Amino acid sequence: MVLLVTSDNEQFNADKDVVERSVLIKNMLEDVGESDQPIPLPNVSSSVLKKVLEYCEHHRGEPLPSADADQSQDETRKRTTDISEWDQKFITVDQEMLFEIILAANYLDIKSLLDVGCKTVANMIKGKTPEEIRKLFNIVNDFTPEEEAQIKKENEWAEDR
Amino acid sequence: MASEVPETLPTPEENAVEQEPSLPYEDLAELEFSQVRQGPRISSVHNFPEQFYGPVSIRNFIAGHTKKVLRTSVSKNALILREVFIRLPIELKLCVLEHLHPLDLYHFSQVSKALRRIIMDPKAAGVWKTSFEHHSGLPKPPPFVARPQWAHMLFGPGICGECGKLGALTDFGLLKRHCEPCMLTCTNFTNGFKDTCGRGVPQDHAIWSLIPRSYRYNAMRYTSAHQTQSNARFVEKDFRPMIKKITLIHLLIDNGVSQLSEPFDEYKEALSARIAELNERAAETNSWALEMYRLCTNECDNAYRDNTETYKKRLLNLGHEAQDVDYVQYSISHALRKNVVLNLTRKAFRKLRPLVEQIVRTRKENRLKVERQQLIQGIYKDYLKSQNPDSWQYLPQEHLVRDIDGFSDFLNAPFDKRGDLSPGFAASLFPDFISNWTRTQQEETVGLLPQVGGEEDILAKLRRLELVTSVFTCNDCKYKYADGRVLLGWNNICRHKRGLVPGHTSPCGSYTLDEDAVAAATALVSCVGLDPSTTTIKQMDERDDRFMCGNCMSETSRGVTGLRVYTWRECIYHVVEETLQNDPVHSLASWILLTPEAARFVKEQEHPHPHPVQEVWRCNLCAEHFDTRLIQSQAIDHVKQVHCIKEPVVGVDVVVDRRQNVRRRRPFRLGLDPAFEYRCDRCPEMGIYKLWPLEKLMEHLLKKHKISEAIEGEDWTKIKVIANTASASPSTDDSPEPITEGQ
Repeated sequence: MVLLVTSDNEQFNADKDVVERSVLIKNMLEDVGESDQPIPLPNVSSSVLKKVLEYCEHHRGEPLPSADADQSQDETRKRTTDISEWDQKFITVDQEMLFEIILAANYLDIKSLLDVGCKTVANMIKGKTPEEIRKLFNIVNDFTPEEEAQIKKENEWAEDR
Repeated sequence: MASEVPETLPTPEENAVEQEPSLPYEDLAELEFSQVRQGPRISSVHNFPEQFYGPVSIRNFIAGHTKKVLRTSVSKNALILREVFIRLPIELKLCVLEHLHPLDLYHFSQVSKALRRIIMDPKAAGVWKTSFEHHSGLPKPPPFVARPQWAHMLFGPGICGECGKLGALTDFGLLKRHCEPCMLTCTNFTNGFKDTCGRGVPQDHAIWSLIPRSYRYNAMRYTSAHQTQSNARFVEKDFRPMIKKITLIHLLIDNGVSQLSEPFDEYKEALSARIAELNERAAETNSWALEMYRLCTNECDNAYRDNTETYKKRLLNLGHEAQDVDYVQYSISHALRKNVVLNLTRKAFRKLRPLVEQIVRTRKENRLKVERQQLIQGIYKDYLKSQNPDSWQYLPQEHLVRDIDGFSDFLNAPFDKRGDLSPGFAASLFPDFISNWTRTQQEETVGLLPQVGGEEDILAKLRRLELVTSVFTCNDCKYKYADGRVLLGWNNICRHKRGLVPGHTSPCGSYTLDEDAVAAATALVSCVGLDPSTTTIKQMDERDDRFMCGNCMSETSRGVTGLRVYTWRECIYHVVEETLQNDPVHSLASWILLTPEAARFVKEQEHPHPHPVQEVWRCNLCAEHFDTRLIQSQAIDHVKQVHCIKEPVVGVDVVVDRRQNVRRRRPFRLGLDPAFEYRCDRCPEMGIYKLWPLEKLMEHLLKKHKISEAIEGEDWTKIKVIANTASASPSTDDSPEPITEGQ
């Protein structure tokens, strides 16, 4: 069992093979060795860690990304462009929680969780025209007509090949 | 994890290729700028391209299809996600962008300057790379083309790089977009280029491997052209500097700067490898684009098909009949395509409804008209069946009865349902119709006869029509079908007028008295010694003489050298057909009349005509074969079984159905060299009358009758073959005495 301490000083006990989905924690455990010392997670609040552990618990046993298996891992990521049903349900949270989960996944270096968060956000932009994206983000088109015209002729660069 | 972000955001083009200039907004020519600003317009060559190519190819169908695949329903959490994205630090923003399709990244780069700076930053190259890698189905860019530019080429608007008009799909070989006219102006085949001295450039010149090429032959479609040097297109702007460069370096080398030779070879090798790679990638990308096009068109076709079915269902719900709706389904599909209705909304349905309903109503009207006509024709057919079978060939065709005045009310009644017609009433109109039609046709025909003497009534003219000198020809079909070439007598003409030549939609209507045929007939009658001005067709038919053409040359067939022997009708056909072929030899008809003995021999050799196995026979006692024709034996069996006649007589009980074309017989060829003019006097009179050539007769006498030295008058007789000759020459006043058939 590994003891984790959140930014609001709450302690969590979790199985080693669960928390080792976080590359950060895994490395720390490897550095520290066998110890009962709690691992501080100053960038993660208790509510977020609870969610993160829920995710790790669900995906316990699934192959972990390793440094030498980056390529094959990437292949898996390429294939799984969609989010699984459980992950979708898991990530259906409020704005603040989603934001925190993504930050926590990045901090704890949980690639798969970061992918789930990023894919969820990316799906909002998928298949939209520039105008639709502007509308979504409430952004004004600040290109001048000259700039816009130039963008449309962008492949002029090919002249210089 | 997430890539680091630069402190300052560089210009987008820095991402493209190193050493590329920054985005030169100010370099845009005024004309180009105004064209782009006014929005894309379709190239003038294709005013209605969607009608030729369908809706998918006028714009960049690849981008359209990709966007459609990627498009997801608007998320309920869109606002939450938006806020999350905005709050994310830049490195996590890039992480998010990694999960987008290159098309989305391309769109993202066009949203605003700030977002463009994020995605076009060189540090965001990994985002593009990952995005392309995540979508392995996309073609790989050539190694010297940056991914953002590649995305632009794949998914950018189909605007011509030269004129700014719409209708130019990216040419992956040239890495340019050209509309049709600009493609023709800016590119050329190898044989269209001249070197610096104005000479043609040979196909094996090094330059062709040093500049990009394209195998496209249409600016608006990706094609799978056969790729050869001769059908490759090259850009004038690429060719001109390169040929100058090559010429200059060769000049320098030739003039003693030999140290240039090696680096120039290295340069050529490197450039050639780069171009080869570009060509390879272009071929791959073209194939991919073609596959996309196939997908798009299939999808489009499926959508139109489904929409057509939906439209049909809605029309049925509106009370239209299935048979009408089914019949016009292609018109519905066409209307949907023309209006580019890929999604059949209620609004789209309502917009097309007046047009489509009009089509359905018109179809219903036409159907009911046809059904009513068919009803009338059915009654008329039953009426015909009730008439003497021999008269069928002279009665007007079924389709003419719909023009009878009495049926107009029925035919033009409101087109809500077919309605019904009393067979008794209909049948009562037919006798008058038939007699009127016959009288009209007779008047039309006799009107073509030349005027003789004073006023003649129609009966007198009809009598003249039966003379052998009244030979008509049908101008509508004489070149196609033999039946219309010679028309003799009212029955023959009437039969032709009521019939329908195969391939024609209406009966023939243009007839003339054929002067050549009349001259030929006159000569024939003169040849038999009758008066052409009084001899009738019937008289000549009854005589059943045999003639040979005096203008034809002897030909050999099946070992017999001689001339074909014709009936008098066949003689006229022969003249008309030779005249149609403009044969000068037959310009004046010349006839050889056979003696009765020779004619008897010929007739006994002739095959029966029409042949019994030809399917032209019918029973003459009932209407059983009104619609069908049989071979003779089948018709005989029918007469035996149905009419209980033990020995049916051909020509009486079983007859040829003259409504159909009867194949003409092959005339018998009478041997003239050696001449078949000898008769064996030792053979008893038998059923078959036989003539021999002299040599064969001697062999026959020796073998059969054991006579080695046969004597003329006792053992054999030479008979006379030719009874008379005549020609259509005007100087045939010395007509011989009439020759009777028995003479």
